[in-house]
Amino acid sequence: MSAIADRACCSDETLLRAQEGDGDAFAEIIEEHQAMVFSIACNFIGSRDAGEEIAQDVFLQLYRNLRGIQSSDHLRFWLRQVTSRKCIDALRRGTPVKVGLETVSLAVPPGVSDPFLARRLRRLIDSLPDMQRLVLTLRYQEDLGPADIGDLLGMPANTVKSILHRALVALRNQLGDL
Amino acid sequence: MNIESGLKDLLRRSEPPPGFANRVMKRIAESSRPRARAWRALAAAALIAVALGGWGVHVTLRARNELRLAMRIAAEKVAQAQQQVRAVSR
Repeated sequence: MSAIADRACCSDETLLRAQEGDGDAFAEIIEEHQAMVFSIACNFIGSRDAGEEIAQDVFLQLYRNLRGIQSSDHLRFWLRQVTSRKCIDALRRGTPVKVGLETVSLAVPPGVSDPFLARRLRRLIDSLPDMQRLVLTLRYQEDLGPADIGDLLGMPANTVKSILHRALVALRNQLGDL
Repeated sequence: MNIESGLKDLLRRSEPPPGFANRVMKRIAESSRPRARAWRALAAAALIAVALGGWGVHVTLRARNELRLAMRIAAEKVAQAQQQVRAVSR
C-alpha cells in the first residue's frame, strides 16, 4: 500500500473514532485539516484574525455534522465547501474584518521569494470581486482544477474557467500598470 | 514575472496560530454544556412528574381502600340492626 493510501486509511480510522465520540480523534482531525481550512479563509478574507474565526466556526459545524461524513475524501470536500460558503456569508453579513498592521504583514506568508511583489499581489487580490478571489484561492492554494472547484461551489466548470480567466487578466493588467 | 507561480507562492497553506485545535475543542465543550444542562433539567422534571404521579396513585388507592372499609363497616352495622329488629319483632 502506498504512503498516500496509508494516510487515507488512517484518516478514515480517525474519522470513525471521532464519530464514536472520541475527542482526541476529533482533535487529530482538526490538526490534520486546520492549515487547509484556515488558509482558505485567511486567503479569501485577507486577515488572519477573521480567518481563524471562520475556521473555528467550520470545525464547530463539522463536530455537529460528523455523523454525515462518509470518508476522509468526503471530509476534505465538506471542509472546503463549508469554508467557502462561510467566507462568502461572512462578507455578505458584513462581518467586520480586523485589518491591523500586524495582520497585513502576516497576510503575506514568511518565506515568499519576493515579499515586496507578494504584498502588491496581495493588495490586488483583495481588490478582486469575491467569487474571483475564492476561485483563485481554491485554484492556487488547493491546486484544484475547474471541475473540482465547480463541484465545490455548485457551478459549471466553464463558469469557473471564465471567472479564473477574468481574475488573471485583471491581475496581469494591474501588475503591468504598477 | 510568472503570475501563476507568484500566486502559488503567496496563497500557499499556512498553519493557524498555535493552540488552534485547543481553542476549537474549548468552544465545542462550551457549546455542549447548555445542552447537558437542559438534559439534566429535563431528567429532574421527569423525576418530579413520576414522583408526583406515584404519590397521586398512592393517595387514590388509600382513599379507595378507606371507602371500601367504611362501606364494609356500614354494611355490618346495618346487618346487626336488621338482626336486632327481627329479634324484637319476634
